Amino acid sequence: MGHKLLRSLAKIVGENYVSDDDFVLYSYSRDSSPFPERVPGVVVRPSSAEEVSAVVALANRSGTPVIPRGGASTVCGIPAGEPGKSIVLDLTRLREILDVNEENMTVTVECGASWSKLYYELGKLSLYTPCVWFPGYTGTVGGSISEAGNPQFHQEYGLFGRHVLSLRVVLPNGEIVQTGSAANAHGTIFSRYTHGPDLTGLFIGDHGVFGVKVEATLRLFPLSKTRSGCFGFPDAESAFHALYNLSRLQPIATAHTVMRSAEAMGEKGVDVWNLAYCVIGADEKELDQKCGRVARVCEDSGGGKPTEAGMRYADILPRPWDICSMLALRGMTCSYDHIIPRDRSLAYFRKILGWYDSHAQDFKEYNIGRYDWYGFVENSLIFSPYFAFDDSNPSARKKALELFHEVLHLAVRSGAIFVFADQDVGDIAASAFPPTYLNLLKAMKRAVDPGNIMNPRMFRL
Amino acid sequence: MLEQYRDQVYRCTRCGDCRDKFTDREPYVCPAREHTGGFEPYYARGRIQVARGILEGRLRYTSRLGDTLFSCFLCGNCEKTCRGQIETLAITRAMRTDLSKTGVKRPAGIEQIVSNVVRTHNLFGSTEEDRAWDVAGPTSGDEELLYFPGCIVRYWLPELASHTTRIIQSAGLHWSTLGKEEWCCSTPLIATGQNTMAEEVSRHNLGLLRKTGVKRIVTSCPGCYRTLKCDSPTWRESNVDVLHVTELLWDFVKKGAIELIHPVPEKVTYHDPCELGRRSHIFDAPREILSKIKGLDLREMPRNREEALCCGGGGAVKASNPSLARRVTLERLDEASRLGVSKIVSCCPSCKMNFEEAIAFASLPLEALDLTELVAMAVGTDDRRKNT
Repeated sequence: MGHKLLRSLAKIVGENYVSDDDFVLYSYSRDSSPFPERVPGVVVRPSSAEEVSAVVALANRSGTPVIPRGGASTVCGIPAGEPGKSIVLDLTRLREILDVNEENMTVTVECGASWSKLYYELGKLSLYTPCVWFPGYTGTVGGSISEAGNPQFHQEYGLFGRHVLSLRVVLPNGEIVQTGSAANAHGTIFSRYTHGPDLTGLFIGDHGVFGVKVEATLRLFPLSKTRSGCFGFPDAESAFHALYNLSRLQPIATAHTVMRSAEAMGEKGVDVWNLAYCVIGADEKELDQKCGRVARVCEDSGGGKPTEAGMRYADILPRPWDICSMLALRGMTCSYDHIIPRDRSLAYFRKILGWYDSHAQDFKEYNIGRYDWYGFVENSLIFSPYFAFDDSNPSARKKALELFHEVLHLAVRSGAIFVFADQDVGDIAASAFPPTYLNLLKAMKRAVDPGNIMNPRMFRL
Repeated sequence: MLEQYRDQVYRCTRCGDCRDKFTDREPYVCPAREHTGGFEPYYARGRIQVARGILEGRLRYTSRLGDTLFSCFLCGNCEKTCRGQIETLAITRAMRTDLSKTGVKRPAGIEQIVSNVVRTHNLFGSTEEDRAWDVAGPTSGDEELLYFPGCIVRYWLPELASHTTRIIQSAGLHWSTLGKEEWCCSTPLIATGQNTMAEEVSRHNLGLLRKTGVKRIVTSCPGCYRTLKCDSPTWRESNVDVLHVTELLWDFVKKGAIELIHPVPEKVTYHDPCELGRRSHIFDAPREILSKIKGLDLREMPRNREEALCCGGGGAVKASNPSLARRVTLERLDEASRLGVSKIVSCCPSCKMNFEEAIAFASLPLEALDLTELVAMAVGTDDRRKNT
């Protein structure tokens, strides 16, 4: 028996773009994580904001949950929805770059476009917007805005949400709203802030619970020149010391830093910590100056020759999408990014290393690889634990998930916040919401989505 | 069959690089996903998820799943882009094979080509009388090379066989064929998952070759080349030296066995056939030959070499879903047309046939040529065109 909305959906998007075939539904039941599969009821691939609007309005009338989906390369668990009933909105047909305004320095793009495509197309114009690289080549603009992910060159540009100027959003009742300076019906889209609350901000990091993002207007910058390098350190603390001091340099020197042990870069038995960095600048002189400052800080902390893997990492950093692809070689992975303020960072780093030491036997016994990385963004340490294991081995999967949950709770208890969360990590993150915060969130959700059709159960809503 | 790939299925991290990938180079986009409804199972990530569902007993083969499996062009672009080194083509083929074993109905066009090869030993189900190029087997006994034209050349593009054999002759080599006994190379059977039948066919052809005593075989078709050289276990273990005509021609040019003396003043682009380029890594030989032809203006399409788009004829999609195949062919021709060329050159009879049909369908101002045709013009063995 087919999904009850199949025919109605086909009238909206065309027969080719709706399916409730079992094998299609199954293929939409996971993201890139080992978290449990959740099979939806029907999948729709709309091609315009208007089609999205019609689908959401139909879902609203029938009380059917809607799960927006971008590249699905996230690693924190597919939204719960209502298995067997939910409509998955595969938004990857909305992928056009609609406008590049070089005078106002803005780009408007459909939210199903991948960051790598946007970066590629803007590069032809010698322009750049702080792209989110973590989900790899398939990560979409809308997906990252929904998750408030961190951008490439995050030390120069900060968390990328600040560069989102306006969003076009399909609300749970099917209405379409434009945020930002579009608050003036006679105006254009050029500013995030307006004569009223920051409604753009409402939808950043909302994980789709308030609506479906269909277009985003982002701030543009001139495309910079880049240079990258790497230093090797004899131990974790000296590498961390350099990383910390680099984060405090004013003016900012590094655009992007990644600190990892050589083992986490795939060099077994090599007892070195690598600190790869990338600097950006308008010309070679600026790059020389910045690299000189980075070298002084690293050398003062005992930095020297990096390992070969460290150098390979440095090569990738100017275009870090391949980091995710490289991790694909390591097996199925559990991961999430979280940030912790600089003033707690050293204590937290030590706590994490201690936790790993106390679980070393588990990692060894179940052959679970650790590919963590650390960096700094704005005033915070950003840390991504990364466990890789053989997904065909159920006991390794079970143990990896157990360890992952444990380190996740450790992060929550240490006051971390998550730059992306999704269903399974989001559930745990939401456990730390103070009651007043949760009540406000629930009230807002009820006001915008009284039927609770948009990503129900996300953040325990 | 899919069971053999269980490890790889579980190793897929679902990163999605196989869907589309924008790097510094020309973007890769899966053609099947692009020109269909584009749901996950139309490209490798989703298909591998489906494979997992089948291995775990969560899903079973159905005719609708079959339609999806037979929408893959087997072009190999996803496999090339996969950093997890997952054999996406082998997994798709294994699923096609297992589907065939279940008795689930496959697309009508697939049933037809399988039946054709089984009944008539050629792709088209044609009779001996239909054969357009018919040359007897060994005659003198001193042949050094066996020419294997393949179904498309024998039945539809006989001029390619004429050009090829004349060039070989002008290079001073004695050649032969399997004559009327030549059967289809079995590529369509492998592409449709009929591995047992494919091996029977291979054994037949190899048996004939053994009788001739010839140890080198040259093919016009990259599909035949790839099957004889790599994909067929029978041929792979035979120690027969398999060449594609492109390799032979480049060898002739390098050694001076043929001379490209006649100018061919044309603007052309070169299309890399999937089986010859991405899957066999023969990129330079055809370009080297073209660069030696006087007066020829070779312009590269944005997607070339490893990044080349399929011509639309791969993976038996032309049989299973002709309109899908046509859409991809037209996309490739559009890419060529933008270069302002008058000719699209390939060295694959299947590509040439696809291009010719789509050019006629869309009335495009383009001509599809095989590399051997251009070489024949340049060498002067093409009487009709050497003075152009």
